[in-house]
Amino acid sequence: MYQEAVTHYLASGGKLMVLFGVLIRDTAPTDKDLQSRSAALARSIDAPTTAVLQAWYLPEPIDRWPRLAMGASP
Amino acid sequence: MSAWILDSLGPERLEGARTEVSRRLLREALATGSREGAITDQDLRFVADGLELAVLDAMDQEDGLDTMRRAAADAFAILRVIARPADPQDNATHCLRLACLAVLGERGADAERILRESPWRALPLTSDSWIERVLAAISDAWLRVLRKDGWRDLEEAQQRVLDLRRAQQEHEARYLATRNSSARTDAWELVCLYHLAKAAEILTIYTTQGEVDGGFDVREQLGGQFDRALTACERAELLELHTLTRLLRRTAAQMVDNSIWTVTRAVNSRVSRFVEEVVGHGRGQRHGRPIFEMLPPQRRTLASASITPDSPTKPRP
Repeated sequence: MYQEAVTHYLASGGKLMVLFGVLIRDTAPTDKDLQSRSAALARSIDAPTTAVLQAWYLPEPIDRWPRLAMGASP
Repeated sequence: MSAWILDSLGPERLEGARTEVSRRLLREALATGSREGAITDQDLRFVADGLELAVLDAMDQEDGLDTMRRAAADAFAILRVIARPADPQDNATHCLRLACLAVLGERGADAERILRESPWRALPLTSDSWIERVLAAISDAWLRVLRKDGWRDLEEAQQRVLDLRRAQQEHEARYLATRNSSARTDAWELVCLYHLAKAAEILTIYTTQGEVDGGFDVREQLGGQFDRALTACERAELLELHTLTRLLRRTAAQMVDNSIWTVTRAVNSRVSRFVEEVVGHGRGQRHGRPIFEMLPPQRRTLASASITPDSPTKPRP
């Protein structure tokens, strides 16, 4: 998979790639979180480069995330 | 086999980059025409990055030596003609990559000349920021070991490492205390950089004395430092520093192979005395030009056994 990805990247002059972004929040979900970012990205990248943005809204408050990530119970 | 990376870049793109490099060198020699041609610095940088990837892929493969040398020589040729970054640390890192790739592509003498004629920008060697200071000192030390512009470069390379050791106790703890959430990563970064400093010191001592702490196991001593530096990079996922460390590791190994001490060690005591004399030439003088390394044709001549242990001056019949 690594070789395939590098081959595509180099052969396309650094253009055939996917930018991947993940937003993680502890708030209520809203489309607005990604709209401005996707609009800005759309202006700065050209085909064949694409971007995938995802937003994850977690039910636990952000200050508990480090402990949850270490395996603590919610 | 890392030839697949060169195939992915494509023969047309590689040939186009070589033509652009030639055009720029010609323009520079004749002092005429515009700096950028049909291929921009950005495009050339992309090709150089791809070639460096091929070098990194080939350097650990048994059958990768020719690919590594060719890719390194091409990458060096590109880096020498594109604009260097304005930021002093980025500028030094660019020069460091250029010099490493030159050594691996058997163009070390060209890199030494380029760095003498167009040195890197002055680095923040006394910065209040400890990490900035460490990066500056280590970059400067390595660049001086690679340039070897007389004894002064090698003495100053050692001095950079000594200065860091003296300042470490005063600055390190304070720096880490201010890092909060990134303290772990920053501590591993310092660990890596300290090992790179020690490696630079070992290589400098070997270059000037032909031994380190009375031993000839310079490859093992360097290998130990680089192994620990790479482990630190992996612990903290420092990708760029990991790449630079691998490049320095292979370059240091090549410099040991190129060293006049290594090449002539197996001959005899008369040759050893002669080597001490040519290496010592210019010591204590500002502009002495001693010989520290053998050029590729000289190494090949010695390797083909045209000089016998019993007769250092007479070619074998």
